Amino acid sequence: MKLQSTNTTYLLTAILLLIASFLVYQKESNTEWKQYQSEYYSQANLSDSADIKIISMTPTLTGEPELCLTCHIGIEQISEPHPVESFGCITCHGGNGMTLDKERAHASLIGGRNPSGLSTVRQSCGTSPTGVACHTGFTGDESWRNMIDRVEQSLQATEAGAIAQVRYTFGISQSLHPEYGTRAVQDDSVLNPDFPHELGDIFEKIEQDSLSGNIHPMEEKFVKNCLASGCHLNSDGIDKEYYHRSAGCASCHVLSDNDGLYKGADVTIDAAEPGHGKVHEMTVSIPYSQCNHCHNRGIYSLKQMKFIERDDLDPHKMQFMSAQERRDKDYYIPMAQYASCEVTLDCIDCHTHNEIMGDGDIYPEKKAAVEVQCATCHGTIESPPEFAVIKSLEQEDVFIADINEHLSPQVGDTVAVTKRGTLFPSVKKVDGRWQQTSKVDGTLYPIPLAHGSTCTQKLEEQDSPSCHQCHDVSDKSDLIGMK
Amino acid sequence: MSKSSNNSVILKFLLHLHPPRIPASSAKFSYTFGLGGLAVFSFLLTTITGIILLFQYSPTPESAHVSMEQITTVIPYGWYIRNLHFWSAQVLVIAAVLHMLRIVLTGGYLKGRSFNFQIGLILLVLLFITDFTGFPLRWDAESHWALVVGTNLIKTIPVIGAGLYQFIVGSTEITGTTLLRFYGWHIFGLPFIATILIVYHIYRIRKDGGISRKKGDSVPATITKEQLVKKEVLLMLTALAGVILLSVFWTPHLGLSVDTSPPLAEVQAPWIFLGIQFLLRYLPPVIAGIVIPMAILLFWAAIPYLDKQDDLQGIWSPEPRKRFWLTFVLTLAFICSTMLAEVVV
Repeated sequence: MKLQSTNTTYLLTAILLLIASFLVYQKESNTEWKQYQSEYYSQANLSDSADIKIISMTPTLTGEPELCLTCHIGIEQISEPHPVESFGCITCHGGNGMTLDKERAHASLIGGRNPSGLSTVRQSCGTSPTGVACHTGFTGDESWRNMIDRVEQSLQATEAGAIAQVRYTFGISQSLHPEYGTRAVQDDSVLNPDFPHELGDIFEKIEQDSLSGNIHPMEEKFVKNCLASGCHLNSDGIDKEYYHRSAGCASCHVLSDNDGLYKGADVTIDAAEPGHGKVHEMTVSIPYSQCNHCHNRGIYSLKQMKFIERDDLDPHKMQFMSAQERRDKDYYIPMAQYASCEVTLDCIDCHTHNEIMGDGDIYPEKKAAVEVQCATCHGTIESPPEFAVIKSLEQEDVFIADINEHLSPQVGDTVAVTKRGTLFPSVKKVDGRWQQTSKVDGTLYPIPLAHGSTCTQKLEEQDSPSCHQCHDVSDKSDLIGMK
Repeated sequence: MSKSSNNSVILKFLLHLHPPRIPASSAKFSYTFGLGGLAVFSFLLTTITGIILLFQYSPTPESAHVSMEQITTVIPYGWYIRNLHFWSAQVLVIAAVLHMLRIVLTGGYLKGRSFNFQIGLILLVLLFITDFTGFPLRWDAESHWALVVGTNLIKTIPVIGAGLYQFIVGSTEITGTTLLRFYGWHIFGLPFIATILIVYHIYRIRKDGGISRKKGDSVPATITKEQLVKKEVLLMLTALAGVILLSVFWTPHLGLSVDTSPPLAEVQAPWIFLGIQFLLRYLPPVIAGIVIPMAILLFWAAIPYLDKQDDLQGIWSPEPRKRFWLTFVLTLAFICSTMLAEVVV
């Protein structure tokens, strides 16, 4: 009896040991990275040839092995100029590449999922493991390469003009000269002496005003309703259909879908969670739709001091439209006037890098920053476009254009020039005719010139509203529906 | 038991380790709860898993944390070996403390066994120190700061504090050599001394006439060596299953490396030192970290000299009162302060 009970206990213990050992095997077979890899192979219909293994990569720039791709096996390379073999993941994202534990691997990420936000961009896009300057830190003739500094001081980041305008309108400031931006910035080498040398942080100012009890209600409302809700590069986009975008550099260079969902092959990224780029790629071929995640989405009402969304975009109706019809509708808010080229080309085909990303100066307002005119490409009734000949591929505007896969500027090309001297390598004279190459898809467009046409535009009136008096393809019927 | 001729060398050796006469009352599970055996088994398991970890762990400040990450997340079954090492060490601490309590509450130190009792006490202290030296080997922010706090306590000892600190830490502050020193103590120095003492501790039990028992049991009923070994193996297998299950469901903490960790709001010592950590908040370091632990240790060491009622050996008894109450109060105080430290953190 005694022996029997001992044997039973032995049997039970043996069973318990077996179960425990099986659980160990289960745990080892189902580690998170193995699950991600099987999911990746099954989504790519490669289950049969699935090779589930730890992926270690040693980028040439760091020389330190990284295991990130073990989980992020399907992730897209960020861009050709940043090959994964050289940069790896940690150079830009930070984090710990020597663990497969999700939490610890991501604990020291730079800026969470987006390292290019302007508060962290100097640690990511601004540094390199070899100590060579990246996108900041250049001096002298090369200071145009300081993209981080330029963007930080650009109007899209500071909103200096809008802030100054509101403060002036409501009598908070006696002048239109900007004093505040969405972040404090300083410009030590102001090219234009009339421009601000520094801007204070408007959010900080409001906080201090609030503490001292000396707060202007309209200014508070403006900061709260307009600036804090995601209308500048220092903030993320709004979590809403059409409005999705990242912050900082990725605001423009990482394209977002209208639904804000990730459509790439990295299974670790939740495909049902809005707020991701469409794929993990940066591009300089930025279509108008990306600009429209912020621009042309509605108007700001000074009276109500809030953003009023346009209500003429019915996604259900729009899905039956042709691409061009949808684009005509989508491109500009209904009250805008625009010429045919403006809804055929993309925003970046006309607007220069200086206008969009800034040129290093703190611009006081949008009008001061715009350098492109209709005449830049079309000339005037008296003369063809101003032009210059490309002397070197290292010239600022040429170098930047050369990054675009659809452009291939060559030394000797005759290209258009803005009134401030910015070269337009996408607009060039070939065999005596002017043509434009789309920066988004490479389409070639012949450019009709004002010179020799029936155009009667006065030479001194070259701003777009003057040209739009005749050249306007906008559908005015939309205005009826505008509140 | 004619089968014994077919037994393997190992079994023969195992049987040889046991005394020829085994009183049934001493070998009863409800008397010893197998705690000494459990401690020996968990010591062996800790040692074996520790030896396996030696081949993967790298004791330099640059690579220690990385190798911990590799063991925990990259190397196949590395997490399992690490978890087994951790959990068998925790079981060892608990088994050793409970074994000690059992000895005190059944008067196991009486009748000339006080010397072996002191050996056991030294083993317990060695165990605590081994546990403490293993903690910083993680080389994460938490263990790093716990090491700073723990070793700074040494400095508070009057006269010899500063010198002792430098001897243990290897410098005037925590550096990479501290890691190497702790590693040396953890994998060799302390276990080496402990192994010798454990062997002597077990040999001494036999020398002292086997496991303690009641007076008057001069011609007790006995069980065979095989019966005892069978019991021991059963206990061992059950304990093994328990440790495996603990390892599957609970992975010990691993924090971020010192250079990537944000500032820590709270540094927590290994759980067995939480009581001291709690006292440190309210008392001067030298009192909380040195005087009180030493006083408790001295009290335990003094028990055999305070209580000489040999006739009470072998009985789970609240008599004599001083033995029971003092042990009870001290143990309760230890548990309470540990729990308070957990709660208050």
